[in-house]
Amino acid sequence: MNELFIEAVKVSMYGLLGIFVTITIFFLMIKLLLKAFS
Amino acid sequence: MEQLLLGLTSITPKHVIMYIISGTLIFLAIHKKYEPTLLLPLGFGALLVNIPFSSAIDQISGGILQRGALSILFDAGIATELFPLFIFIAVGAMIDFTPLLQNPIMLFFGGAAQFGIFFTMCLATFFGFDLKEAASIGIIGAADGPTSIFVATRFAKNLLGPISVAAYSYMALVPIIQPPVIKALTTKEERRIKMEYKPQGVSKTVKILFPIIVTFISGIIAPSSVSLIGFLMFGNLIRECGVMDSLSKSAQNELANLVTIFLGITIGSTMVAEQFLKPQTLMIIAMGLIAFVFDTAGGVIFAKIMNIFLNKKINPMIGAAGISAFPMSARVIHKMGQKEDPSNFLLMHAVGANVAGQIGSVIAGGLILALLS
Repeated sequence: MNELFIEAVKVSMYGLLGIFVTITIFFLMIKLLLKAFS
Repeated sequence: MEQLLLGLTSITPKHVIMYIISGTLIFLAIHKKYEPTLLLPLGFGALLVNIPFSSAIDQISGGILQRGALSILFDAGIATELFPLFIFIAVGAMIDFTPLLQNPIMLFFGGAAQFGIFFTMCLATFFGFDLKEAASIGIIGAADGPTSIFVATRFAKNLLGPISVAAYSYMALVPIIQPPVIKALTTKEERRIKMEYKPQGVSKTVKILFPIIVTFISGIIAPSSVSLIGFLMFGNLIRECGVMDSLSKSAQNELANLVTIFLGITIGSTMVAEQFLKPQTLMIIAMGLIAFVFDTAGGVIFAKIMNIFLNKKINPMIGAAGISAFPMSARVIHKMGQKEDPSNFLLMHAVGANVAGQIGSVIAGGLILALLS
């Protein structure tokens, strides 16, 4: 396997994980804000 | 006489190809109205720099460097990353996040529809691009011009021309690219799923706190994303705070228009025949399309997976609106829904997913910068 490809897969996994963690935090934050200020 | 004909005699077949490309971009912008604000300056910029000995770009004459206006603009606005960031202020001032705040679950589609970026990045490594170049190519899938330019400026300045052309061209072609991918992945019944829309008020406090907290959280997770998300959210804060209406309007109109003119023509200046007409340009344009296709597929498939766990089903087409091409993608989804069932109104849900895509693409850009810097 191409080393560069393996590195790209690793970055992709971390990238996708990072996006979903961030978005989950945003989701919970919006829920909280709506509850607190509705 | 010989001096006067020097320009004409210096035209090479490569120049002629660039004139055709430039003419095509201008034609698409004016006649087809495909992203005219960007494709027209791009096309004209490409023409300016492919006239032999053009004074619009740097030339060395008699061993002395004579600076060209477009080269100066490039150094001032693109190399410093200022132009894309100014555009972000304008975009932030234009975006109303209310549909997303009313239905925050749409945020997840903004994440899922970034799948194409990473898929394409992996694919690009097979074609001889290094990791940073591959990431810059993948980010075409962000369907967000300024993010693509920002990342390419940082990681692959040599590929800025083809990446920008691909990013903006495919954004204009969203109504052609997305429907076949969505149809291939969904059944007629799925496309007919109706989603109830209950408009609920979102308080001003929430709208003001949202951009501030998003910037803070993104900054903590990926500090490299601060300028990207920060400028976007600053523009949105100007819009929502209610005490800067005049500046908000300026950001949405004057700032957006002015920077767009300079951004387009300056990016066009990177399309010099010798640098642009390479096999890798074709590869980048092909991979940009792949990125858009897999983004769309990522969003749709994610919606279908979510439907397994949800009582109130989501129309999986909404997932495709998670790409950032705002508001084009939302319109496409709404029209597709109406075509299947004229009584189905998906627009507000699709807009929610679409603005989530704007956030998702900027986060993706920031994370790529953080992971590869």
